[in-house]
Amino acid sequence: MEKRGLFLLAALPILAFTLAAHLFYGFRPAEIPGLIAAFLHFEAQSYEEAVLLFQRVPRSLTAIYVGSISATSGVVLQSLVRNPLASPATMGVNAGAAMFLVAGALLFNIGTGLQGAAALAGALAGFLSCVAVARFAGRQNDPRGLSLILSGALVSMLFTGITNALLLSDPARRSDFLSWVIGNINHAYIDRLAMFWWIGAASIAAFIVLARPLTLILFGAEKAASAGVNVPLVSRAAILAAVLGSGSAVAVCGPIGFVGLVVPHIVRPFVGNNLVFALPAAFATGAVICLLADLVARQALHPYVLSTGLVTDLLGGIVFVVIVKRFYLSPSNRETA
Amino acid sequence: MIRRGTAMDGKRVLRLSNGLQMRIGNLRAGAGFAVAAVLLAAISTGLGLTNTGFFDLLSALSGDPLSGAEGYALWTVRLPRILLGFMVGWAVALSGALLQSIARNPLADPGLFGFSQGSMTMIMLLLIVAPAAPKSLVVLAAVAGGLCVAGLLLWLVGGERSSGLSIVLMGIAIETVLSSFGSLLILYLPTETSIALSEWLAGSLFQANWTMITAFIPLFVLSLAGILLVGPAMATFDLGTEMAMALGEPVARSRPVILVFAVVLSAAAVTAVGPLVFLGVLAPHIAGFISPAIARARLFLSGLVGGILVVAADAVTRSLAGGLPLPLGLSLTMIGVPLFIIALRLQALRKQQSR
Amino acid sequence: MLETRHVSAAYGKLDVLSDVSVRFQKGRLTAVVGPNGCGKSSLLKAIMGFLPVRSGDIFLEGEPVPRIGRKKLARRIAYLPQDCFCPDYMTLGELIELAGYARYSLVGGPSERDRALYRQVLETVGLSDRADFPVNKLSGGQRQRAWIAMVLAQDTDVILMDEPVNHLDMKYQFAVLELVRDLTETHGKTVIAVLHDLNLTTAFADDVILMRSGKCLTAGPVAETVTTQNIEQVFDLRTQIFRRDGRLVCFPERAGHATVS
Repeated sequence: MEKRGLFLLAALPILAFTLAAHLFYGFRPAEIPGLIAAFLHFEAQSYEEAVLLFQRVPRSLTAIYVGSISATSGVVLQSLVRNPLASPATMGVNAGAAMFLVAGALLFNIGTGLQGAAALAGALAGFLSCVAVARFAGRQNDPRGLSLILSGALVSMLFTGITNALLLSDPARRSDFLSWVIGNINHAYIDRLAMFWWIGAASIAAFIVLARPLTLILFGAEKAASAGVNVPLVSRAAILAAVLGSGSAVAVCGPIGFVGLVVPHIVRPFVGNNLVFALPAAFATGAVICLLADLVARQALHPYVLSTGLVTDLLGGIVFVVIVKRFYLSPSNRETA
Repeated sequence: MIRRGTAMDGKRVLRLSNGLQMRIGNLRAGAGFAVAAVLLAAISTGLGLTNTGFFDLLSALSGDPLSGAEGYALWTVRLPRILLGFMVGWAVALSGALLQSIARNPLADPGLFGFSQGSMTMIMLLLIVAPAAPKSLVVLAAVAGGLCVAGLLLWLVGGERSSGLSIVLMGIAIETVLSSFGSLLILYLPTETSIALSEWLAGSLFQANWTMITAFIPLFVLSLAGILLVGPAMATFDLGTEMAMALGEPVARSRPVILVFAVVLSAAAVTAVGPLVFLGVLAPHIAGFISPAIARARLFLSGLVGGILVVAADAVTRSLAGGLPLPLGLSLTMIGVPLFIIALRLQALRKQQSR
Repeated sequence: MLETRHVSAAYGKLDVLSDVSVRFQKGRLTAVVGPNGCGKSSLLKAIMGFLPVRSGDIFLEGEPVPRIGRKKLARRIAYLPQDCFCPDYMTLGELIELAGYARYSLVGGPSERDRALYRQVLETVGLSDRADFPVNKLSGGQRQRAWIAMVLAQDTDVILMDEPVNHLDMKYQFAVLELVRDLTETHGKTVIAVLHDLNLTTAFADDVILMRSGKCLTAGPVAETVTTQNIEQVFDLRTQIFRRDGRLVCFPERAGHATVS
């Protein structure tokens, strides 16, 4: 109880602090008061202030959006699928969304709005492919769900491969998407954020509505059913919200992994499995993590600017290895070969 | 003296006086694969933008000189790609077959397990630190990189669990991390190198040339000797470590040696062509599907199928209308994933049946 | 013949064998029996060198076993593990041919004599008509006989078997053990088998080694060693032992049920 309260209480200040760091890091300390004023009045009168308002602020907003959506989707997916490795990136959602979007843009020349729709369709296609492959090729005796994650990895590889092939087939347009396709939180994509933010908001709203019934399902599907919860409907609605929300995040800035995988693990020791508390905690933590990842991508190799997606892929792989080792390979676990 | 005979399971064999037997079925499959490889190569010489092909090649060999464009297309572009492609496919497939036996994991693959990407990362680090490093040092770096990943995987998974799914997932994770790291390292390379390297990072035959082929041939020949020496040991490894030791195989000594052999094969392929995923796991399965074999025959047939797959993938890429420049690694991934999924299913079905 | 002297071994921190000194008689079937975790399998593994021995010695005909190289050892001792794996593509014939691995030269294969032996072995186990089957497609009983055939085809004087009849139907348990018995009676081999069932032991074995908690409690011919006292010490179970048709039978008592002797 106490841990949970402390965590939730600390979440907002930490988020505020991280946001401030994300916005202001890199400027000379003397300029900061002036920048804060510019921020509050939303007026840019110097180059630095313009950078703040028109580059950093959009970037922060995008990072918060992507981070919170990925994290909450990750919590929902890991709970419903009962697999510590589940996340939008590891289940083919991100790769599917990216592929459909790129295919639509390059093959059918669709505009940004329709690209978003394509991304949503792709997210769903990726998820369903992952589940289908797991069912088709998975092992019967696989209580730990490794087959599902392997299927997700394979589906992601295939979709990413197709995306790369599509990009190579159109060298002219390739440069448009080259940085987007590895995941790029860039101020240039703010128009996409403006177009798609409502999808993520809808997802989160759905999560809030479904939080309590989902938690009941988590603690036992039969008990939940006898308590009046429509288990199939709630589960599918939650998964749909998670998948589509993640799809919209991909539509904005390309596939960003790692956040959806790691945040549920950070949050769980503090707030437990009750989604009513886990979801807001994940929202804040996801935003914080994504802001931090973006900050690192921006500043770590100064003057080179890395794509945030590159940093998250690197971190995500390491986290993945740690989770597999901890959950599937510790001496107390016997694994079926 | 080679005589005909019958093996214990009734299959017909050719037998040498020292007891070495070769199953006629496998010999036929091998011959078939070799013929297929030659046919594919012949067809492949005719694919591409310049209008030339196998017959031009024959006439060139018999003395008729070729015109500039055709000569260039055949001698500088196509033939090196085909020959190098075959040898690289052979090496990676052989590496995969060896890994599958010593890990007793039918999903083992030097690309999927991250060995190839380990080689790739180490090469890039070397090129950043010493851009003018000699080729031999590059190959050494590749081998070192592959061995590092092998060591990392073994440490993470622990020896006996190498037959499970976890090692495959770990391998994929390591492979993804190293690929991203590679994209990062490219920032630190001078622009001329980085343009060339980004093709190589995806696995590509674009820089196939005769120097590379001449450098590769000794390894190819060595691998043939290796198959001859190591083949029967692989059959014992397939039965498990204890059974292998009980049958007389000094596993503690031979397993590291074979692992190094597998890594060297994969590292050489990476140095020439970049990382290729799925080839090492698919070629042995396809070969086994067409002609089930153990020991030397299995290694030999896997290598042949690996070579054929690469030549075929290269042919398909070069024949696509509009000249879609698909790197080899990409085509292999796109064919590889569906085939790998089918292989998973077959394996899951068999596990079910044997319960 | 084959003996261990004060052998202790451990898996990391876990002691599995403590000061085990046993002697296996030549040409006889010795059963190693005890409750789960008593070290029966570990004893066989220690002899084969699969388990590092912390202290003590193992001798085969006076030679220290760890000094005998793997190939040489494979020509003298054959080992059948508890769980046997075989790739799906291996046929029974190929498996049998693999048995002679230690005999073949570097680039050689089975000789005429080897092949005659293999044919004979397949007949002995009754699988001559199944030689072209993939091993994993054989039935449970057939598969176990196949592995025994392979161990036989190694043509060694000593055969170690770890729970060779565990998962078999009763009919096949008896068929396989008859085969094993035959190895000692007709072929003069020394067979050491880890067995789980006491009554199978008394039906087929010449000697028995009773183990508990990594120690050898007692050893000797079956008739002398399988006594009510020893069984109670090893298995924590009260039994009555009586003779029927020249065979010892262990009759465990049920709690709360009077037994008629």
